[in-house]
Amino acid sequence: MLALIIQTVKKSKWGIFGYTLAAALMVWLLVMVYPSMAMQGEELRKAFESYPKELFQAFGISMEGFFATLEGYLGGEQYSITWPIILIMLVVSFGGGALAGEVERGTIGILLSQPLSRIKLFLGKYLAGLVVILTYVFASILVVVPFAQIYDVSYRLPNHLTLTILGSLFALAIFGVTMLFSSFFSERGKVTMLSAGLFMLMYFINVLANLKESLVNLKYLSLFHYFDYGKALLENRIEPLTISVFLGVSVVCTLIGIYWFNRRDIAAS
Amino acid sequence: MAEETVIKVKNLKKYFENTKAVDGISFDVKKGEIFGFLGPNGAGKTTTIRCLMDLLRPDAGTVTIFGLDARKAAPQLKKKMGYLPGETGFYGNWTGAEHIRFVEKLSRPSPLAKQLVKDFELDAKFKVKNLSSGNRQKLGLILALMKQPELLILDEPTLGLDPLLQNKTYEILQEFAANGTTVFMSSHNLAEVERICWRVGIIKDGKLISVDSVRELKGKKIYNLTARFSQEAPEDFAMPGVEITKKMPGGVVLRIKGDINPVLEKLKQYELTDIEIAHESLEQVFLEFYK
Repeated sequence: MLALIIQTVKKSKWGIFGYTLAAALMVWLLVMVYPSMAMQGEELRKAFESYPKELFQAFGISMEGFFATLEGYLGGEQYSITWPIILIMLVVSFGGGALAGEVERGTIGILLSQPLSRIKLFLGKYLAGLVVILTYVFASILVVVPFAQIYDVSYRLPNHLTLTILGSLFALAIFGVTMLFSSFFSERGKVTMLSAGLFMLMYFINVLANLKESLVNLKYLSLFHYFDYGKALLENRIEPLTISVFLGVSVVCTLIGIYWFNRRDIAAS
Repeated sequence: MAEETVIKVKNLKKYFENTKAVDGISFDVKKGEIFGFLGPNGAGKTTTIRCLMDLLRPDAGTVTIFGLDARKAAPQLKKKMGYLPGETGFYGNWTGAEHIRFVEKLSRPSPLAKQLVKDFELDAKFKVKNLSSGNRQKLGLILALMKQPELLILDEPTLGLDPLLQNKTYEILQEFAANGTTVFMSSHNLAEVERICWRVGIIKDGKLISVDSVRELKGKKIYNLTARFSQEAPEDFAMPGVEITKKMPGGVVLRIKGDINPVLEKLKQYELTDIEIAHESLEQVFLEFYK
């Protein structure tokens, strides 16, 4: 199984590098720009007052903290939409190829003709995925440390560490869902479309729930609702319900995925 | 003749929605023999092989390999098995050597791999995406054989190989069998299974029609022979199993079932300007002998 994990991580090395670089470049830009944004904070806050407040509500951006701290600023600019999108792209890309991609390409024949059970194959791919995804989470969030030091911007390390934990839990949940789809289907494209479609729908539901009072309860159906980066960055806190939901989704989806992959027909050559 | 049963398939059934891909087949394969599994396209050969390899789960019946359930003991059994799929998929950006190393890491180191690469004349430094289909088939064979398995399961092993390499493959398989490896191979090439197999299972439309020795199979060939003569074409081919299907000026086309030698003996009496012999398709053979 170790050989499988190493092979899978190696195959994804350029993906990890690319996605992490993209996120890191965003953080660099934002940290670089933050000091001048903070200096004009009061004027910008007054300018934003003319915007509909629903716009900020929809994306969970708090105007009070937005310019006051680097954490508030990064929360609104990076973690409200950009960082989750990059994470989802990485997860969906990896998850689609992990099992469904092997079946589609026919390489599952090489893997399953070796003394490797289907459960070990699933777990090998899963653990490799964790390495890939958590590398992205840690690197893309904690890259703020060197940039903040370079530009002499004050930051609260414990809060970023808390965000890293929250980001990891969020990643685990969406990875669990993607691996579940990957265990069901034999085409990478199907997994990618379904996963991406589902997460886009969840994002949309979360935005809608923030905008319309009558739809507010819909937010509980969205994993984005539980990804409360604001609380993590500004209050250094993760709600127990968030931990339960993310871990619960991850565990349930993974177990169903293992069960299904172990009993399905593999339509490989 | 070896007595120990390596593969035991009993009443195997596999359906895909309304299609009965395999419909209640049973057969045994003995240790050390080369067993051919012959059938036209869509007969159920690959489905059967995938059930043996636990890629497909039977709807009914049992598959036992080395006395163990093929599904429950799959990882344990695969230590002793080598497998060549019908259409092998590879990692396109990897070289042949990288594939070999990867399989070694997943199973065990293979002292035989280098020799097989040499025997099959494969340049293992090239990326697979740049290899021809024949070279990919060679790589697939190497990956199947390199573990020195006790059981080889091969789905159309010589597909895409030139005649020289086909012969090389047959030699290697016969060597493995001589050393105790059991070989189960599917084919739709009658001549191929005649050449190296000891026994042949004939499958058609998901049903196992018969299991013949190769000697019995040799009697079930159909040839189309076209002969052209320097003079008027003779008409006296009244022999068992011989039928004149076409007459033309100075020539004749014969359809011959079974042994072709009596016809060739007859033709020696005449001065031939040209002769062409073709095998009828397996489907025609099946229609004729396995209705």
